[in-house]
Amino acid sequence: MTSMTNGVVTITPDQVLVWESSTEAGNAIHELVGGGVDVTLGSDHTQMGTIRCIFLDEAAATAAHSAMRSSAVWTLTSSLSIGMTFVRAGQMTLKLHEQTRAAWHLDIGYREVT
Amino acid sequence: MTIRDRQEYSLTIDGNALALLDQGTVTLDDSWAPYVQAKLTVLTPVDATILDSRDLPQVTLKLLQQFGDGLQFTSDLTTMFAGGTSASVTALWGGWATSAVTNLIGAWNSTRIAATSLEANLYITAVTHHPDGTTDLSLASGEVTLQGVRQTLRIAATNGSIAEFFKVTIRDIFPYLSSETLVAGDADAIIPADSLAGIFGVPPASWNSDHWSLLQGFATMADLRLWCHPDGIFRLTPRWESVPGTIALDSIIDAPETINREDDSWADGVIVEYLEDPTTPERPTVSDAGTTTATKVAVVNINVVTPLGGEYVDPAPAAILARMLERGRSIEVTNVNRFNTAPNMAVTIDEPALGWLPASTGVVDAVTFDLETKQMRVTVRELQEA
Repeated sequence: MTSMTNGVVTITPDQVLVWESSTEAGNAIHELVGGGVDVTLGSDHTQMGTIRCIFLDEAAATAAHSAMRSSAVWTLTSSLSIGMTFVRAGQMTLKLHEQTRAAWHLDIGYREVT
Repeated sequence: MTIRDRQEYSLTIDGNALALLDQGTVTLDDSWAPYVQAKLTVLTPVDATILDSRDLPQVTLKLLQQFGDGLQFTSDLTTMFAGGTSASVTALWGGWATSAVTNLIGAWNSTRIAATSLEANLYITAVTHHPDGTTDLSLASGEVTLQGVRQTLRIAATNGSIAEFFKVTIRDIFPYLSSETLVAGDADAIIPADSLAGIFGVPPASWNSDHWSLLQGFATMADLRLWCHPDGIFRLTPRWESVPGTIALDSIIDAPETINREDDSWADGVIVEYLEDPTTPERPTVSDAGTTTATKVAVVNINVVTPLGGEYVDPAPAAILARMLERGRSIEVTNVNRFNTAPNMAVTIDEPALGWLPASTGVVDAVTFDLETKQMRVTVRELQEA
């Protein structure tokens, strides 16, 4: 089971369907005039991506969508190995599943914070 | 061979860290004042009033470059040897050169490369708060504290020493500085006592110029340069004094050469203009050098009445002209940051890929460290084939 809380509201989707995570390297690569490179090492930036949650209940889906629009830091806990603290970044989309018309998809763009 | 480094930056105010973002620039340039100028961005602190530039808050900027995991700042030694004696330092570093302390433990490169760092005490001169929670800061070194002040100077009779006069004046601005405001042993010039009588015998009611212009007027005439070191202490040095050490530019990304007669820093004739003072009509208002044959004349305005007679004023434009003639042709090297680079430091360039430029030596004119790209732009003058 996966849940997300901002300390006031807790969202518990029926399922997490997609979990995307990417990170951007913090290294700076310097292309030298003589060929070759020098490197300034840097830590990777925190992970970012999209979480796709499924809700079987419209009210729960819209409530989650509304709660996620607030300015807050969220903590995600999951039986999957994806626990983290994050803020929303980029787009968030709520839509009815086209084929079944019985489930709601909530795609949440996120950026991990430390 | 790929050189691996890591660069870290920090900014503190009253010992408290500000959240400094990896963007912005820090420039050291002895052709302008303030000597150090920076544009940085921080996350807006909860109490943003601590950054109010009207109070000229002072911050400490540290730029650090490591080539491995090792000791960098002296404070690291204090932490490492807290409670110990000097014997424990000797035990660890016995037989090593002092530079080993700044070298690496666990180097990332096949040869040891000394760490580089720059620590600067700067004043916040402008602040812009953005709705996204970030704040842009404009920062400058200590000269800025003299540039806005026009209060009556509490000047006692001096012994004619420019350095002593500067110390008195600078202490007037920084009453909290109990020790030296100019580094001992710095350059000096003696102002003839008879020339001082009308100026310093009695504190004047007011000065029609700010403190910086007043001091620069004296310094220029004596071919000296007053500037504030990044450590926050003023220096009075010969205008041409070189900085110890040589920087080898060996991680070059780009190196265009520019010859530009429109560059404001180049001219082959100079006129220095001072303010006119009806109470001392014998004081000259203009002196010049090279103007009879010049193709481009620069006018340098010094916003102060000439304190001395013509014989003391005349050398100033010649010294400025000599410096300007060294400019106009320059090479701007983009190199990976090396935070020990400073203006007036000797520089070597030996990069076979720069086919038009043989191995050369020169002098650093100015350097700008970019915190985002991790690269610096070094303007080099007085290029000579090695």
